[in-house]
Amino acid sequence: MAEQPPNDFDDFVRSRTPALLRAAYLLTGDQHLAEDLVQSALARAHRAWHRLEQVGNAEAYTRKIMYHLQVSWWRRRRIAEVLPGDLPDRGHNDDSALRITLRAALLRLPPRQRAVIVLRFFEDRTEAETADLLGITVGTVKSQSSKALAKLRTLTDLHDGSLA
Amino acid sequence: MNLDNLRAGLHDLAEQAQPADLRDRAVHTSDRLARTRLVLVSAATVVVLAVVSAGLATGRVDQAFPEVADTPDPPPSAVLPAGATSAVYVDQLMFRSPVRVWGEDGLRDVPQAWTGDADPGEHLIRDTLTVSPDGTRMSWATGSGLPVTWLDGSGAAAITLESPDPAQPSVYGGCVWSPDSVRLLAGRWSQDSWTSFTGWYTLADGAFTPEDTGGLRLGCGAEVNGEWAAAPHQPRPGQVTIEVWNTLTGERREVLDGVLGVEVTGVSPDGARITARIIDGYTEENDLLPARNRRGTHLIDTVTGESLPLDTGGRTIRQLFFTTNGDLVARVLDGDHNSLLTFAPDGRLTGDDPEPTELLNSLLLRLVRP
Repeated sequence: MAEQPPNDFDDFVRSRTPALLRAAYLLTGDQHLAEDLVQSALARAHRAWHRLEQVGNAEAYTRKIMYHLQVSWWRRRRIAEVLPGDLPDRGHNDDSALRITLRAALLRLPPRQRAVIVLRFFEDRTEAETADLLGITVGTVKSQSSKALAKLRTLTDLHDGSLA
Repeated sequence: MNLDNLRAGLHDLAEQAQPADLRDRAVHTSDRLARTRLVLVSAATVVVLAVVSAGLATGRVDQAFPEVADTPDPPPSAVLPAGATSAVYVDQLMFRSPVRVWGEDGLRDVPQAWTGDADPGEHLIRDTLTVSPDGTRMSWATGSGLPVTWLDGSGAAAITLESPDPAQPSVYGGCVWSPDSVRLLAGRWSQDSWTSFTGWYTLADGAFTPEDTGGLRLGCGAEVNGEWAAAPHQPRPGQVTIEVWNTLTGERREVLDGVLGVEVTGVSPDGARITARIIDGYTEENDLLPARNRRGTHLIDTVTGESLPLDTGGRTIRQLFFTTNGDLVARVLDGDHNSLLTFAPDGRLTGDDPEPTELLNSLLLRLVRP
């Protein structure tokens, strides 16, 4: 009953999962949630694999699904995001503290703003590409990016030069 | 904020993600999604049958759906193709079928798109219904005139164009809009002599200017794009071809021969290619069903007459046409929705944009690109 995935799908999963996981980690802030998110996106890609393989846009499709799932899961509260009551004290300006601060700050952004930040400044997508992936207008990308950056600025309070 | 530092911070944070082999989990989830969907479809069928048989068709069917264990496939986000501002659809090619406009703010129905009381007949609607290039107006033939209505939902009739010749009151078709949406090409002909009388109506004042089309039935079934035009041509009964010509230089090409029927759906701005639905035979369904016209949608080279291949990823083409900038748009069946594939003049696929699922069985009348 269960259809065996084509070998190309296996190759695709092996080669692209690490990159997808990195983006998903930024979106969810958690290893297990990131794996769930990538797994769900890959499952949708698997179902559409025959068509995607012919069109040659499997990665674009999977990424698009991943970002959409992240937003829709958040809306359904299916991801119980644990927001820290207070952001960690950045008393030590080391990499670990910076990561913790940035992770916590990202999680405080609404999911769409978080997705815009990840697409624009982690994946280095253009505004138009970001708009296309998220299914929103370029104007919305600009406004969401501006709001997100302002909030990150406030949340990280990094006037010491690390992110400020 | 120093964006370089933000980038570096994000990359550093992302490296915290640990490698994981998700292949088996993804395939397992895929299978579970398939089973869930199957259960959903079966449950929906049972519920609908139960509701109908109990005479409870007004009840809320969705309340009886089982709880779904996992998120079903998210519908693809409907996205207008790049450069388009809206698209106009009609549910069926019948009088008073709902007209829908899909714009950047979503999908809206135009409840009062049709005006007048007389049903012009299915064949006349099919042959003549057209939307202006700017997407603001719609026109069709009634047999005695061409109603032109606004598509803003106001229900206001813009104008009804009447035949300029009282001796021949029947305006047969008004299928071609000028690119600036201010004039409408209309035509009629005598069934006996196979001659046509065609001209341009100016919508502002209803003025009629005859156009010499060399005997072609240009008022109906024609497509114009830039300098080039194409239309079905029937030089004599039983013989159908497509005439392609340059409206400025007069250069003419005759494409196809020996087909049973044809509907021209587009011509490229350089006249090199046309799109058409061609009837080239009859289906052989089975002994119980009457034979139907066998139609195929084709992209045709106007010089060689050959049908050109188009890679749609295995998806069935439902509509095929050209935009004014030379892009080729294929509307393809994509599961529970249609998608609009955009091909640049050099053949590159530049867009694969899903339509809203609500438009699955609607006919696309106009993709509006300012």
